[in-house]
Amino acid sequence: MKLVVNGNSYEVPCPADTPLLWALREEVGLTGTKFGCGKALCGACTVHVDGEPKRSCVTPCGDVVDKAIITIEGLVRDSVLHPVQQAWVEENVPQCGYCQAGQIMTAVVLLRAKPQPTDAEIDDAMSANLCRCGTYPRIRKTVHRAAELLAAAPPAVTK
Amino acid sequence: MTELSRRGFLGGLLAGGGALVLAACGGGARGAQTLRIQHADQTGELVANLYISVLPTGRVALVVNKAEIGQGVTTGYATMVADEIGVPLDHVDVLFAGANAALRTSANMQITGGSTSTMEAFVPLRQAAASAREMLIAAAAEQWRVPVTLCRAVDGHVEHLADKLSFGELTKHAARMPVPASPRLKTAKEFTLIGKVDRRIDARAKVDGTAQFGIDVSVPNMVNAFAIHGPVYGAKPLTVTADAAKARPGVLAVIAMPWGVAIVADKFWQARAAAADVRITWDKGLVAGLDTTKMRDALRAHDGTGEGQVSKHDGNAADALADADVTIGGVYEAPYLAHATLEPQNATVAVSGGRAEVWAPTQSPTLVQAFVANALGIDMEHVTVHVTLCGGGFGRRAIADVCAQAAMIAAHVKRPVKLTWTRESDMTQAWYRPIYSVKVEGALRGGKVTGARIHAVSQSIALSGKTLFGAALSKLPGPVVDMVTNAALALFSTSSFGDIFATEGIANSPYQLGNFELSSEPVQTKLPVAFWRSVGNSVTGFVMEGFIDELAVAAKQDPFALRRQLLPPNSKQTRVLDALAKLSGWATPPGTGIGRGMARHFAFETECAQVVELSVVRDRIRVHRVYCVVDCGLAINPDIVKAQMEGAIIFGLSAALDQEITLVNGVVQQRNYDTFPLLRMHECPEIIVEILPSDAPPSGVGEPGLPPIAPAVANALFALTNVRLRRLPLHRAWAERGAA
Amino acid sequence: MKPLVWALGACALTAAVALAKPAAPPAPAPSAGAIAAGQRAFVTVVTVLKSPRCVNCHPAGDRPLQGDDGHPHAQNISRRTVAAGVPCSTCHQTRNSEAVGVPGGPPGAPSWGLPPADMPMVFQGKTATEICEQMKDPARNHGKSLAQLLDHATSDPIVLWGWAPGGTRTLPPISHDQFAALFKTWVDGGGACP
Repeated sequence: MKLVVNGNSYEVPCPADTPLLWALREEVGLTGTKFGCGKALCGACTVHVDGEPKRSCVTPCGDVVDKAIITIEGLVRDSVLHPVQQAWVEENVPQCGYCQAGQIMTAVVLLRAKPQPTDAEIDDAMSANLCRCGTYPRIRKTVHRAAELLAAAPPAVTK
Repeated sequence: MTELSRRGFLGGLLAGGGALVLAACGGGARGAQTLRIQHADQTGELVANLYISVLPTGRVALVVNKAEIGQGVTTGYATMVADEIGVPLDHVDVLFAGANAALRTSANMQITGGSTSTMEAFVPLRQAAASAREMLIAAAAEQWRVPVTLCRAVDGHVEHLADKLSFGELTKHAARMPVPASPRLKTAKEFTLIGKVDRRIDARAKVDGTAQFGIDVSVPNMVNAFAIHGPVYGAKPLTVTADAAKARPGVLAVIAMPWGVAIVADKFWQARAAAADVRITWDKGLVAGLDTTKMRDALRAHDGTGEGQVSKHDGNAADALADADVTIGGVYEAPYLAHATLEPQNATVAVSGGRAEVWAPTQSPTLVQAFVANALGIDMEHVTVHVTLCGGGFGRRAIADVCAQAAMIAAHVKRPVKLTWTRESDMTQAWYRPIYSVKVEGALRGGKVTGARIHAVSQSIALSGKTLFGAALSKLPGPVVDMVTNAALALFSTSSFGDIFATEGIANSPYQLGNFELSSEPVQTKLPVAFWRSVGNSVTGFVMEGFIDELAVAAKQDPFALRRQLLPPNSKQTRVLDALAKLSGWATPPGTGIGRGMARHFAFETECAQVVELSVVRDRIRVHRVYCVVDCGLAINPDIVKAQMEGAIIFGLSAALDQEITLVNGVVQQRNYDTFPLLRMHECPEIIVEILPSDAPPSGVGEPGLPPIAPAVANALFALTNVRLRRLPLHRAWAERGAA
Repeated sequence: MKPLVWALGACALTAAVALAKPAAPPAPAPSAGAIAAGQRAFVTVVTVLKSPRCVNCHPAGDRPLQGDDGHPHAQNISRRTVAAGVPCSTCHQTRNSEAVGVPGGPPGAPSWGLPPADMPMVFQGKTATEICEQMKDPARNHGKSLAQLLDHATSDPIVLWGWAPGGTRTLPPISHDQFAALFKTWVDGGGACP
């Protein structure tokens, strides 16, 4: 089946019920999307499908054929970080870093829906993403910073 | 962040056995083939642990023998080196050291734990870097024929008046210079990066998807394994029916292991999916019948009279209790806990010709060697370990059980294997924080504290370690077993006090309680227990600070004032406490409906104190704000210290409020984040951290932020509700508060 | 009894728009017996609507409910989550997770989610009469006709999921065939409320 990931087409030999997470990690070779819980409880595997967030660990890849899949790697354009990623670096958000791809992918959709989110709106969008290191206070602060960066220079959209 | 894959390079470095190596490149390229290594042995007081190479490119390669588990050790080490040698921070490349006897700096092991990394390296690492700096300066001075005292190293160059040579231009020459006997370390006033750097060197790779964790490892010809673990810990498969599974696409083998069954396939998901077609019957396992409800009752039944090992005895606590006009006390309890690192346990192992090569997110390459060598019946020295980034550690990754299991599978299929445990396996095989039941009694006379008696009953990490490590190492030659078990036991216990972890944080408490008796009593089960962030302190902080709060209530004193009175005057403790009172506005009463509580703890040479403000809404404890003051000596990277305090508070708050591992009839009841919840963003308090300025050497940072949070919450809850909770997790204790 | 306003609008239409549409040809008025039968049938229909499989997505507040005990959805999920860019389909796919080899994962069906905020269609804490009035009120049901309600009850995949919920989830108290028949009886009775 054909998966379109970060603008590139990949022919992957997976059965249609294979979770997208494993197709991405093992067939497409993009390992930035992480396995954490396997049951949509932690959010580490979050990617975008046609602009909407998806927990790839429970999304059968047969459901996303020919759709536009964006992973954490796909937010980077010509080695330039997406403004949300840039904000994450500026504010030293990551500790172990394992959950951060999922956090960032969720923050990106949040900031599309709410370009200037309140703390409560950040909680609304981000509470389903777990962090074992406890980077939440920084994430909250950094989403506000990312909103500023995005307002100043919105990124091009990857198809 | 790159893993050190140039084995020739590392091998060459280690052959010298020295602390400091300045590597010069003869051929001009960085490849292993063209590197010509110049060794500079530095013995004496320097611990031979860290390797600094200044390359002809001018970049500095730093070999770190610690695990980056999020605590920022790579940034910290790179900062110390960059500052001392005189290069910008982004000129340092960090490489993770593999397993090697020459790199064992902690109790004869390579291990990341006990919040020791910065303490351990603060002097020797800077000495190594200072030696490199002085050799570079000496080389330049020789070329310019000027005294070294007129030259200085700055921004990757050696300068003298208008002359300037880059480090890269000097490496070849510098490598021939004598190693300074006692290099001059920069004074605090000269620091340009230490205490000032406000970024992490690993942030970019951790936001763009390029950071390589253990789970991301791929090696040629690799296959993938999925493990099924039995319902009871340590269960051995009796029968395995897997014909249908073996017929599935990609499946290569189904293997019965000493504990668990492995399905091996080309791809992980093929193996995972095939599990539906595997039928297994299990033996009863190692902890059949273990029931934490019954265990709790049994632990509570130990009243401590005349039992256990006395580890501290000042004055006569029994008399003080007998003579008291007021006595207080109760039993403080804490459950088993899992680490629940977000990256599940995993390892990649290749086995051939009596040798094994392991790629693992590990806190201890030495224990990886030991576990794998034992699993395969080979020599420890024949196990090569490559250390990757760790998706969380918290103590779990000191234990290499997953590596042993991966090694068995790799030996069976004769191909490199990556074994990835599911979350469910990770949580049910966790080497838990031990269960505790601690009886405290306090004596007061005339409103003054006159004595205390504490008896701690807990599952013993020391005994668990001895038993389990003994078993893990049973196939190794005697001297190797002794070396590793002694090293492990040195970490696990002291010979005189039995299990140090049962009483750490009480035995060394700075409170002056007068007559004081402390005893402990180990309990053994075959459920493995080991290190969990702050280890014994995660419980003893809760015990001591709840107890002190109870004493304050009985003495009708403000909790801050009583602590002030019982702590040594003009100490680190009182300085931190005073700063906390100021930061939190302790003198001003909290708002209506807000409970406020205080706690402090000294661990890993660091003093940390916290004030919590909370309310209770529909039987849920809502922590609104945490004030935290810490004295950790010199903060190499203040923002990382702050991050570690935030992280430890949130980690500790998750445990304090909701987490517990329970067993019913031998079966762990929590299997994923739905039943073992982590705090989520909407539950996360505002956290205000103040780092006290200090000229003292750095002390621990990764763990000391954790112990005060649970008691601060319990004390705030008491202040608000007059309900004293002595049992963790607090939401369970709150729900059952009338029952016990 | 108020005259029914038959709306042609699909669920995407707002109630106001639906009300503005010309009414469809009126159906023949039901007999007294049919009305009484419909009222009786609705009482049993409500036992289904109040079962966890239905009420969990028809809560009184903004938070969906979970489990047979109807506890609030974990992870701080509410209608505000959807508004903040994270729809239910982030985790809930078009099938149960078991169907894709993830036992114990989130349940799923097409269009998984709560009724929209402007048409919350609350079952939790409501009487049969209140549910009935709410359900057939075009101002509160996005202008749906009784026939369209019947269609939702008999063939919407998310409703059918209630009878094949997977895992250990309990089923509604009666079969879907019985439910559909009773719902039709209520519709045939003109949607009269008990």
